[in-house]
Amino acid sequence: MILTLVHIELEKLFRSKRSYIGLLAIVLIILVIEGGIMLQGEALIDLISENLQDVFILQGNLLNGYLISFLSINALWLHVPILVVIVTADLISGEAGSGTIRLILSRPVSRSKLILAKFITAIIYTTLLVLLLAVLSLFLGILFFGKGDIFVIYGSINILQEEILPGRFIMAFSFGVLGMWLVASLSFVFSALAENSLSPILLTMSIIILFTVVSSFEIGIFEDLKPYLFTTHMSNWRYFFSYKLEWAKIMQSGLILVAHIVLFISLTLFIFGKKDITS
Amino acid sequence: MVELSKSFGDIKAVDDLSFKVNRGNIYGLLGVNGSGKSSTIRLILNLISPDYGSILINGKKSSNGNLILRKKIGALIERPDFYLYLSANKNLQILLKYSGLPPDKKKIQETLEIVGLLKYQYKKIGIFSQGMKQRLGIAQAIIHDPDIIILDEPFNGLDPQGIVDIRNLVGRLSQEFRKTIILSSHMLKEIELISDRMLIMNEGRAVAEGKVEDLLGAYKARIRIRVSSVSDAINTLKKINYNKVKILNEREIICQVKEEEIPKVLRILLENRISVFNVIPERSLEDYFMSLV
Repeated sequence: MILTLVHIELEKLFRSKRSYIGLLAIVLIILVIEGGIMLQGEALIDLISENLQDVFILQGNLLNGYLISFLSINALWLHVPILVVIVTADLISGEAGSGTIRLILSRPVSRSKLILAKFITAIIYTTLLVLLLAVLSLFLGILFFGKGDIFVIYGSINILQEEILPGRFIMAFSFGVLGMWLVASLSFVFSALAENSLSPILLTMSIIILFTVVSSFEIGIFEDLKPYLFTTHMSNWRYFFSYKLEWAKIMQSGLILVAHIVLFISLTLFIFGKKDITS
Repeated sequence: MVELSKSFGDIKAVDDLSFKVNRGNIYGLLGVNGSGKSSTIRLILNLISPDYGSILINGKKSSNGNLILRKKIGALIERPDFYLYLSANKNLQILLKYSGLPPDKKKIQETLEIVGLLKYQYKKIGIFSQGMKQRLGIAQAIIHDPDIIILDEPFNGLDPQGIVDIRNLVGRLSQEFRKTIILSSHMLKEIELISDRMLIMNEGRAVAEGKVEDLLGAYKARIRIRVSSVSDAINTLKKINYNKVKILNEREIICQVKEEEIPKVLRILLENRISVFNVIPERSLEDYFMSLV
């Protein structure tokens, strides 16, 4: 039954124009970024490397597809959740708002299976969104700017050779997907409570922005809170761009994200299971 | 339904309500807006959970997790809401899948034919009129061939022809297909015309329940009598202290009487040489309803 439900949810999702907003936005943003770099890329490289040139002799294709992809992800990572939430927050509350939830639940459909099917659908959509970001930024980057090593300033200066970068990008994007699943699961909690799409979108984004702001301040109390905020762990895809992979840290962050997802989905199941459908 | 109660905050939506619907009957739920009809229907469908009481279907307790029982029910609840960006056909395909059935095209077309929407099957619901959505609402309620059909305000937004069509369709579902139908409406005439039994609700409670003709028969209703002389008829009836009579027009009077008193009134008129040409019962559910709520 759950597969049938997932199939129905996917069919509804991809027949709705709203679902293509995020995908289209990713395409446009990547095109704008890559187009802009194509026009003024050298200036960008000069800006990034001006301090390094005093210490290092930089040779080769610095402005390459991998660097552009890395910069694109870095710039977009806080905005991708908005594109995720526009769709995932609507999956439950949208049905409540339009009244179609009555149609579904008056049929022999288990509430918990419905939520799980919707979450699997959200996972598929989110993965697709990140995959599009990954493929497009890498593909267009390599197509227009070729390949090469990249240097990433993250804790220290990390110079990563071209050969290892495809694997690093795959791992970073996979970790990034996990973070976006968490965003989707958080939006589900609010979506189960709400009767319209707007409230869960705003609530989810407010929490993400609040947590991100808190984790960006390097002062006492905020510093202490940082490890407990899921946003801190969401941005740890950057670990994969350290010269040496710190698997203990990666695993810890990954597990914290998974634990949050389990918690949020359990909460959604509980709320929706008890909810009176009055819309 | 046994001693069912449901509150939303301080408001008692359903208050100690019990009633029984027999197989194959059309059971009318009548009440003004906010009387608890829709909450009762939502309780039957487990869309809301009761604070107290239980619902039994074929002797088995209905609950949120009892999906087998829900297979036997088809429902139209308040408004006919659909996926507006999909066609009528696609909406029914999806709803069949939710019912655990294959999206049988023949079945969909047959059902759309019954409700008169076959030629619009590939049109998106977004362009449908309220009446068309209402018909599609009934289509989705019957497409999986349920034993029990629950229709909450099925006449809303329909023009007179639409009301007649839905009334006939409900009658057909009961007589031809032997479906048990629970029908809620604030349209008193429709409940009177269609239902075998009815429950009148007010402020979440049952105020009257029984066979429609029994409930109305016991009620002091009105008759319209066409007579040879309205003034003679009025004077005759007032002479015997029958004061609940008035002139309706130059040929007709109207009297408020109990059903069993009608022959007596007519006999008195005839004995006083007043010709009676026509007697039309004016008893109405509306009068009865207003006397209760």
